[in-house]
Amino acid sequence: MSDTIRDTIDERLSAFADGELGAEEAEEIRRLLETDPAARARLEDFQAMSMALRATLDEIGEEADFEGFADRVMDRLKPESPAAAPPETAAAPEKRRRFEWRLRRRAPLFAGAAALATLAVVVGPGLWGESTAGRVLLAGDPADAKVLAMSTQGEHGATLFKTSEGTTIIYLTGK
Amino acid sequence: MELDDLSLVRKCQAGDDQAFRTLVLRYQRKVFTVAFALVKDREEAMDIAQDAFLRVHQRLGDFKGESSFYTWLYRITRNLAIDRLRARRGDAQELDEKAGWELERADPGFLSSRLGTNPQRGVLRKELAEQMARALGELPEKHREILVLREVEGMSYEELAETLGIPKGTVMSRLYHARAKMQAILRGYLGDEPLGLVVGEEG
Repeated sequence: MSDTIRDTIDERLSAFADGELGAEEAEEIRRLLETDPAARARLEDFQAMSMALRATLDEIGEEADFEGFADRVMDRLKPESPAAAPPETAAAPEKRRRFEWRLRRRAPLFAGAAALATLAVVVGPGLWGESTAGRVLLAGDPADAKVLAMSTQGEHGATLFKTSEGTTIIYLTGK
Repeated sequence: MELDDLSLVRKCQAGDDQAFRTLVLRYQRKVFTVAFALVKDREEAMDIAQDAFLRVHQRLGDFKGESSFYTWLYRITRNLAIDRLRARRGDAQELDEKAGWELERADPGFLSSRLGTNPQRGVLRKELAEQMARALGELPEKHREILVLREVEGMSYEELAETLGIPKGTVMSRLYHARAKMQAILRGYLGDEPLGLVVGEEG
């Protein structure tokens, strides 16, 4: 029997095992099964594999620990507590926008610092007065620094970064 | 009396969080199993399951009941799992590229003689379960997916066609190829060892 013919028959055997063949095709398969032991064996293979696969997947689901799973989902649905995020003053969004803009504007400063591989706490140039501008206070590589938090207070802002080496960088900005 | 999915969804839409919790409890294992079958990592599957329920909750307002709740939940789970696979630098792509591989066919009766044919009496041995999970993991993603939906979810060909967005004829053909491939992989794993279901009277 050629592979193509066998594939055609086996495709129907697979669907027959699932009870998904139409009446006429199912009858043809029944007749085939009466006379062809190899077809019967292949049907049994499909049935055995389905059974074993179902048992395997059931076991995977059963082994997983769902204790507290629904609670975690429900907790994540709750809105953040107001205490965790103080309400913004009317002027705050504008201040934050200005702060973020300043941060973007100073992006080259980070690139330069990455090249030197030294930067940890930087007081933004010109933000706290010329005397403190651009001071590098701690060592670290900010090349792949991840922003952890940003905050603003009054006219000042601070961004907290963490580098892949674990160094924390605080970037301060102000008027 | 236990409420059906649609009634629970309607309650959720009216703001009843307890109803949503009931849906989570009802489907958490299924969602996890489907996610696991796709990403093959338990921890990641658990994250996906959690994210899927959150996504469902966010979009409850859009659910009109045109498909079953589970089909909808499944689609969201699947999309999240596929996003994760793609994020793993084309892992899914690599798997699908193997779709054309040639494997030696298993001889007729090979699997049934190894695995047994009576699910009521069969107890899956740990070793076999591991081989099955490993073989499943080697399948191309689309084959793994359709097998899981058929065997775990018990979806009909009609439901599979709807869920996967493919014609019913493709469902039949894809399932067959998935099974044939799985059998061929298992043949390599199981060899001639008498590995399989422990068959005997229970109790």
